[in-house]
Amino acid sequence: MFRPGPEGEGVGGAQDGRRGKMRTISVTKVAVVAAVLALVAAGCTREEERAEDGDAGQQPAQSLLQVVQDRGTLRCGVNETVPGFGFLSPDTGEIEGFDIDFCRAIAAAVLGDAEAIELMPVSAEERFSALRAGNYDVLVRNTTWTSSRDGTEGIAFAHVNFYDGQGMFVRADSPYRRVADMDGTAICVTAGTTTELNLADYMAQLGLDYEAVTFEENPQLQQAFTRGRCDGWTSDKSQLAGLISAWPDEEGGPESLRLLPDTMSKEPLTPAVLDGDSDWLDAVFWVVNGLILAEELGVTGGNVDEMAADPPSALVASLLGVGLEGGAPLDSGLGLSVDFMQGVLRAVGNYGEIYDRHVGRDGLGLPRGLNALWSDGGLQYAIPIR
Amino acid sequence: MWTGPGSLGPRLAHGLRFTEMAGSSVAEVQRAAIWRNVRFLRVVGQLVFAVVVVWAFRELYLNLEYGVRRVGTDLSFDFLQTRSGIPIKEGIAYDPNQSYLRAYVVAVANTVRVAGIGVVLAMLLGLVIGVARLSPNWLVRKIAQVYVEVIRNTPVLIQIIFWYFGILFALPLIEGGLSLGGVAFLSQRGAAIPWPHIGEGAGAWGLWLLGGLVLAGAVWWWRTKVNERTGRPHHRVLWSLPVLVAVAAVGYAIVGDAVRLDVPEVAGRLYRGGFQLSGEFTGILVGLVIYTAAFIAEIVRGSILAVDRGQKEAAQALGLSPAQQLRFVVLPQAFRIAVPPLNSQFLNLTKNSSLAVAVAYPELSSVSSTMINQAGRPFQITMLVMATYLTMSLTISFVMNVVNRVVTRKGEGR
Amino acid sequence: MMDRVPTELERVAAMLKEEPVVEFAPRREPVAPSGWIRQNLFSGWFSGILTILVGAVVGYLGFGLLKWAFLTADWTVIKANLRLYMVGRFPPDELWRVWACVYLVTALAGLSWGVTRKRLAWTVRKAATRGALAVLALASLAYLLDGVRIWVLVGAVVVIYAAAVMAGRLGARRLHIPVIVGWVLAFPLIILLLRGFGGVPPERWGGFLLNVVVAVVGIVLSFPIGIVLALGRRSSLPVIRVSCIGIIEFVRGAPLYTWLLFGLFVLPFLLPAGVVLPNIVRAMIVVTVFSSAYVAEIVRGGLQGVHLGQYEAARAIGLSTTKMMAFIVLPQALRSTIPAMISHFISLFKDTSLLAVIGFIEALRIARIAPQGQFSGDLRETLIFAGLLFWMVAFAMSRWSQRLERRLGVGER
Repeated sequence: MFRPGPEGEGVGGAQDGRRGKMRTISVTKVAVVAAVLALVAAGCTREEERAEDGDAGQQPAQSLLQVVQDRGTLRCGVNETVPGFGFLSPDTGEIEGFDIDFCRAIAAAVLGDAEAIELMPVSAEERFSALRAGNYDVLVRNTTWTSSRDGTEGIAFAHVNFYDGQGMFVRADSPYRRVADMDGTAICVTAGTTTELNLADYMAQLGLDYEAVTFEENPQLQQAFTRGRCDGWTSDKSQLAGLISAWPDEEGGPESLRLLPDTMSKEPLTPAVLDGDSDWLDAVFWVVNGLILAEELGVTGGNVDEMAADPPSALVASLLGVGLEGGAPLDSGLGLSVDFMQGVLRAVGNYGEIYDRHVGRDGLGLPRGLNALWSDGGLQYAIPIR
Repeated sequence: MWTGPGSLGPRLAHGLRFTEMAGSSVAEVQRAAIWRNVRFLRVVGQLVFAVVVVWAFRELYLNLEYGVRRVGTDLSFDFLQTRSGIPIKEGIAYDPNQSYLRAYVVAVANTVRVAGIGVVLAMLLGLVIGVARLSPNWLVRKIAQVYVEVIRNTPVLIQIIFWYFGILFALPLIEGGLSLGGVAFLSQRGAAIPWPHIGEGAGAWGLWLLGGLVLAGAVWWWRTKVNERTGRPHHRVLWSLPVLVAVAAVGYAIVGDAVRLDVPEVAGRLYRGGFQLSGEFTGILVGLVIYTAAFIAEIVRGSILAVDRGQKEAAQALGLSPAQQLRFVVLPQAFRIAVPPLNSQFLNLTKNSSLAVAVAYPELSSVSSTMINQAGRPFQITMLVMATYLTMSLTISFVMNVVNRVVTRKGEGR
Repeated sequence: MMDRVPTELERVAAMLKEEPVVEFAPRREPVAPSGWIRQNLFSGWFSGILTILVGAVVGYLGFGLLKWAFLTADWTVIKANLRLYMVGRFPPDELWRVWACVYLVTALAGLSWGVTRKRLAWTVRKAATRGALAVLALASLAYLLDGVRIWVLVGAVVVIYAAAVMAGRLGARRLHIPVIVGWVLAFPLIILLLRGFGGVPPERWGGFLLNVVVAVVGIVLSFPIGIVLALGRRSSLPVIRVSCIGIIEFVRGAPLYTWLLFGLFVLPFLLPAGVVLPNIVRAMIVVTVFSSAYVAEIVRGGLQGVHLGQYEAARAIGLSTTKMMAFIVLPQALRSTIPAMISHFISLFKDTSLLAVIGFIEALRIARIAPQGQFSGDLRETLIFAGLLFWMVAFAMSRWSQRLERRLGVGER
């Protein structure tokens, strides 16, 4: 490798140059090493200072709530491949679904603008890494609330927005009527989810042998199932309902599938944020809670303006952040504007409306089931705002 | 910092000034201003550079530490000893109750497996296609050209996914799977081929084999000497191979249960026995081999064309047949030329094995991605992964450098 | 017309008049088809067997492929998802911006093509193949697009040819600088078109558009960085040399996928607490840095190829280092690296498909998630279409690079 000539030290400088070069190199080396040591020493002391600041509290310097409000946009981690919950529609190019409406609700509450959102599709494998890296603020991606995620993985869960369970469907002409019949079969399951682990636990509990056929995305699982590679397909029942209803007619349409009666596990799907930021967690929690409370109190997207103008009860007044008969509105001190629920309801409606729009009678057609209000025999129970 | 005659200027100027300022001390005049002195500038420049670099790294490190503490994790590697809970479907012995470190080792073994077999197969296929591209037969030449043009210009990830999903699902299920004479099987479950199974007598038989090799080597040397002395054809292979085979057979018979052939069979929905290649492994292997072979074919073609035309003509003039020309004159020289670009293709294949994440083959990248998601220490894991890939790259480069030195030593001046 | 190869004098005269040099092969005896077959396909017994075997295999596979493509394959999945494929989540009413960029690029591409080509020799065979390709392209476009958009696309093709013809008319030599300036300006212009004047934020750019934009950003930004790294690697200052070698080897040692993971999940921790870069910007940074290391190695090879005498001559006429590098060394070095550089850029463009596994909605990701529901998850059609998109661009670029090489006389001087 060629480097052009000795340093041009001018006329007759060849020997001087060489001697000088040797001196230069050693001077350089010594100087560099000294500088590095000095800096490292300086760095150590700075670290201690910073460490002291950091230890002062596990709270971050600024809550994500403040950061989002300053930024003016809410970034949500979502799914783009699950019909009804988060689905990229080829017609409009937009991601729509149940979870997306919750994202818009949070944006309406925190920023006052339901459309100031940035939807970031994330896969199951990377959703938590991305949350920790701060790529988005809140994860609304049909994610199950588990203790290990709460604990070691450092995720904090807000209010359950969909109570689901894991189920399985098989071909209608197969001999399997319950999961217990499926010894020695191959079962399709999405990789990297609690579904895979629950399947393992459930089959072990029943003492059955099986083969897990895993892929990352639904189209590939669908291919495997239609080609007969697997005998059953397990996933959250809401997802299975979506898949069944969209089953192609060439493969026999929805009638060619049988949903087995077993519920293999509990899957409480919950929006999630990073641990250690209680202001942000509270904000997300109370938005979801507020939506359920609105349905309990009969406040809809349609009548929110009338209700706000003339609240029929103290509970409605507290919910909508207006004073009752000229009194002062309730400020729960959540860091949100007092009437945040009004904006939320105007943008997306209450819980029931969101459900019907995407998952219920105007969407996948799932009955409310576990997700009905507690007064109707379901599990959705709102914490009072007072 | 390159130096140039720029330093000449001040010296001349000072020289001129010297004639003006009679009586000034000589030492003063011969020294240029310190900030024009190139040696000084070089030292200071490097110092400043080093200071900036170290400061930048320190800032990054502090940010990292702060951020990591904010999410509640740390920068240590202790988590590697904890239970992983990651299911890994294939590879060396492992179960999810073992540590993250164990999972990592399994993943690395899988990468080495796919890269090693891939390099060998890609080399073979690339050689065939490369020679085909130079064939006088128009059909063969065109087919090879179409192959190279299509494969080289399509992203490797698309090809891997295509081979995996497109081909895997086109295969029949295991019940109606293809079988080669009942000993090898191919289906959606994967492939299973017969594989030698090491028995108890393997060590002893190994010694017999070693003895056989030594004996065969001696025969080889003897025949070469005969050839040199008398000029008669040596038929080295014809003499030493039967010797090796005879010794091996005798040893096998004497030792007993040395090596058995483990023939796979279809058991329900699984294969039992033999060497099983999962669908994922086959998918990424086929994708990588086909892709890299296209590049290797171009390297082979280029290196054969780069051999001096005079060599081929001289060989022709000596009366060698085209096959002999290729084998004795052209290919050895072409190989010499091809070694450096082949090195980079092998490195590319190893690095492209990271795309197995798309087909769920549990090699290094996909397992480390799962580990990051679960254990939540992206910095440590990413650094570990990079160090591993760097080590693999350096190893391959080292081996290829040795090969390079061996082949160029034999042919001086090329 | 001339029936012999032009002499050197005639050649020089033609060049001075800025006419394309008319080159001819020696007159060939027309070969009857049977003679051609015998010579090329059955020249020996081995060749004959090869022809039969390969022909049989290829015929069987090819027939099967054609049968699948026209009969069993369901191409409606592509039609339904075409907008997602090409622009992802780009808002439909802002698509005019994308069309504007397409026209800009095709005009420049046409000019570049015109600048590098020789006078087209339209033989019957070439006309037939090009006509067939054109018909095939139009048919598939007619199937995929409807109404207005197909005319807009045809308009783009017309622009290419018009620009090429215009370039030929105006004279290639005069257009060299304007074309290069045009390409350099095109890059910020495209970003402005997409983003400016109340435009679309980068998070919404998707589909093939995203691949192209990330590739272009990576190529444009990594070029100067790579040159700087290469020069630094050859520096006589040990600190700088070691740093550059370290950077280059470290970046090249890991696969792009690992670097993308680094960029997405580790980089946010390294940045100061308040600074937040959008995902796409981080991906572009990673791609740029990754590409710079490879560009540095290519440029290093080029620098090594520059003759020692050039350095000495430059010193002898008193050029400072900067001037020497800028006017003498780098032009020669870069010229000799053109084939390797273009091949690297093609490779970078193909590697943008990796963004699919990181979660970006670009062409390959659409290919993987599009066949849902009624399309029963069959990935073959969608993958082939995505592959075709990449292939067309990569193939065109590699053909253009071959032509450029011939024109610039790389390796001959």
